[in-house]
Amino acid sequence: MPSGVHPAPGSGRPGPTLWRRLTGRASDRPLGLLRSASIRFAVVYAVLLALSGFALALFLWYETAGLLDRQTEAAIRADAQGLSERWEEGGLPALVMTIDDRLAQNVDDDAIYLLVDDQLRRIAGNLQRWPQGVTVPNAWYELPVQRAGIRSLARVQRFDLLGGFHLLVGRDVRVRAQLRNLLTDAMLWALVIVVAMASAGALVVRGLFRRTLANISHTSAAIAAGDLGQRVKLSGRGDEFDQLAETINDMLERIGRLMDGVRQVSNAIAHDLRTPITRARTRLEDAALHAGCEAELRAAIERAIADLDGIVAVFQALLRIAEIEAGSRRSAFTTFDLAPVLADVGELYSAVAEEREIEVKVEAPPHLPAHGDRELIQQAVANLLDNAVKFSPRGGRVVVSGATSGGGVTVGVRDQGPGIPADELSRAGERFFRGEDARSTPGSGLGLALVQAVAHLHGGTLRLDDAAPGLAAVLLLPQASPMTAQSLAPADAAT
Amino acid sequence: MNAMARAASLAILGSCVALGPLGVPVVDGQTPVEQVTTDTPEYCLHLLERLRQIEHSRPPPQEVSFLSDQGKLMCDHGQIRAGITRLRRAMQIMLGSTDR
Amino acid sequence: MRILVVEDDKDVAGFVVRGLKEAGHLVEHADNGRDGLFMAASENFDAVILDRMLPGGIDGLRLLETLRGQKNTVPVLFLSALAEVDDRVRGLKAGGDDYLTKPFAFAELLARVEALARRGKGDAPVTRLLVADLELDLLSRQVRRAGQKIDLQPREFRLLEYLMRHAGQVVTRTMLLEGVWDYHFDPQTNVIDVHVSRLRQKVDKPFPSPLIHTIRNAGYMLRPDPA
Repeated sequence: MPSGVHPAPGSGRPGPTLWRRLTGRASDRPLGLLRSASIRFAVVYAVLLALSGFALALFLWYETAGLLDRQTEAAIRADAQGLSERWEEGGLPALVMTIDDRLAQNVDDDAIYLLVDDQLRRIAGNLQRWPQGVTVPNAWYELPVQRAGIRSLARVQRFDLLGGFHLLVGRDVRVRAQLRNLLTDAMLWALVIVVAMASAGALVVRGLFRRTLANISHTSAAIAAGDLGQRVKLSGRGDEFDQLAETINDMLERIGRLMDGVRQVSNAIAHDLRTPITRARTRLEDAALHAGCEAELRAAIERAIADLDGIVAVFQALLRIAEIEAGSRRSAFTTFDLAPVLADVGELYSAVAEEREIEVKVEAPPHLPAHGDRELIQQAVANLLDNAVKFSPRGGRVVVSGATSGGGVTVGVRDQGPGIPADELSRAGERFFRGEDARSTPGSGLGLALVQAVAHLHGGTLRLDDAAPGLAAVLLLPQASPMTAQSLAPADAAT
Repeated sequence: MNAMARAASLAILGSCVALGPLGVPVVDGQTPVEQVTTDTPEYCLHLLERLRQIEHSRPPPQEVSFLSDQGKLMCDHGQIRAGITRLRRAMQIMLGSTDR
Repeated sequence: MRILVVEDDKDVAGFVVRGLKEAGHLVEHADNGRDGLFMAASENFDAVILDRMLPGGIDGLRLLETLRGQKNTVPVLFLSALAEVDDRVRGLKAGGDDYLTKPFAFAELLARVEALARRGKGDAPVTRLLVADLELDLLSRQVRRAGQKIDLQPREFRLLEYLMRHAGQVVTRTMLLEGVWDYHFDPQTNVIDVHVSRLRQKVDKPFPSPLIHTIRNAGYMLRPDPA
């Protein structure tokens, strides 16, 4: 049987040797007849269909041909019953007369009677002599009989009477036997057809199965080989396979995004960190070549340390963002009161704000239950507030607001600074992104990226809007209780 | 292989069940086949005789006469079984019973 | 103070040991877990600086767990290249008292180790803190210097309290963030500096001699002016 998945071309794997077949990956081994899932499904389908057909045929047969037999037997029994009553009432003469009468009125011409004595001498009835094979009383026999030159078939039963007499009662069943044979043949042919259809159906099922799976596995193989742009095709029917395909596509989407993020970060790291690293190096080299005295050297070294600390801080922030995005901190979620967190962060920055105559106002209810990672949310809010204070004009106002909203919590930080231009709003959350206006201010450009990662982790969003003037950042955390936390999937970022 | 084996054994079992009702012992074909004695011209005459005896005690309805004449005619012309059937019908009417 | 350094990286170990000795402490050094455990268990130290990744079959966590299992309560500061918070939590849960990630500033390490060692001794609950003529009453939440009442906002009070509890020790900005604001990350802007300077305005400026000193490249210290 050909395998369902072939290694992607150019994947560099050597041709499958026997050893590899025995010990290698499932996709390397050719799919044996018995291991193929599609064959199993197909066989199950075929067996079920055949069994159903069989059961149906059996039922029909029993109802028709079987019915014929049962009717005959019932008639014979009833007949025998009547005869036995006559025997009891009037003894032998009555029985003989009854038999003759019944024969004389047997318009259907199907009755068989024979009354013999203990010597098997014929007393009454329409058989020449006692049939040889009929030996056991009260048992059913099928007896071939000769009727005016034609061979026929009778169903008979033997009854033993007191005094040594033997009575044979039966019915001609030739026509019924013919009918029964006809029905049996029909049923058998029907079964043959059912089996044939089951086999054909099995092949169809197998084909469907393989086609759908092949679609998914081919796409996956292409992706495994590196083409992340591929997506599994949907059939449009919205069935379970489509759902599976959608899930896989979502996963691919996420992988693609993560990989883009990684690429982005590597680019940004290469670009943005090169500057402070170069600067530190230059200073040290300069000091090594040109420093006049120890004091100058010391000063240069200390500046270099400061530069390196700055770089370390950037790396720490990057690592933190990566850690958050990996989602490993969801296990540290707790329910806590957000109100004091907002108050504390506001109070922390109030000193700095006051220096520049910026008012920091915290508007929140006395209690604000939230569910999540307290430290991360604390840092997210601090980042937003840090930005707000940094960009606010002298004498301006920064408002930190907290409120419940539909089962979740929103935290807003609004400032009156220059804001972010509309065309940069969507990119503001990217790592290392620095707006045109902000290039000169200190900061690594990671602050908003971290806030966004925190929002993601909690299944929420970060919205950045123009506050006209200024920036209004809203952090939406959807769940306020552990129950909803489990069922939420991270929403897409506000990009 | 499990599915295949299962299917096969079920089929065998099923056919046994299906053929059960047919499992009535058929009397050996070697033994002489019995003659049914009510398909002969003699029986025809026997029935006619009985009819005549009954007609003595009461007059037969027109249908009975018709049937018995028909029956006699058929028996004479060799259509034994058809004739016997008519005579039997006549008997039925005459005896007034509902025995088939 | 007697300090044990368990660190396998030669450069970092040399750097730390030298720095601690220069700061006037007695320092022992072990470069693997087994020796470190032996030394920590058999001798009395005021503090232990413990690297998490150690060769020799016993890593930092296991070493600490063993120590604590022996009812040894010596203060331990973890050094680690692992920055994940889960690792910090795990280290603290194992019985560690503080956690510092590499690369660290030596001043930070020194300040924290000294604070740890000091903390180990005499932690009797106090109702009053006194440094020179500065008096802080924890029950009535009142501050006086040279008899004069000083009005402080609640956070300023807590900041001063932290400085006074660590009087004579270097207190880094990170320590203040963690201890006073329960804030575990590094804000980019100098928020702490501004808070300290505001405190200085109230506590130092109106008075002849300053108590709150800035220690270059390290942090702050509260102590009577040596001059």
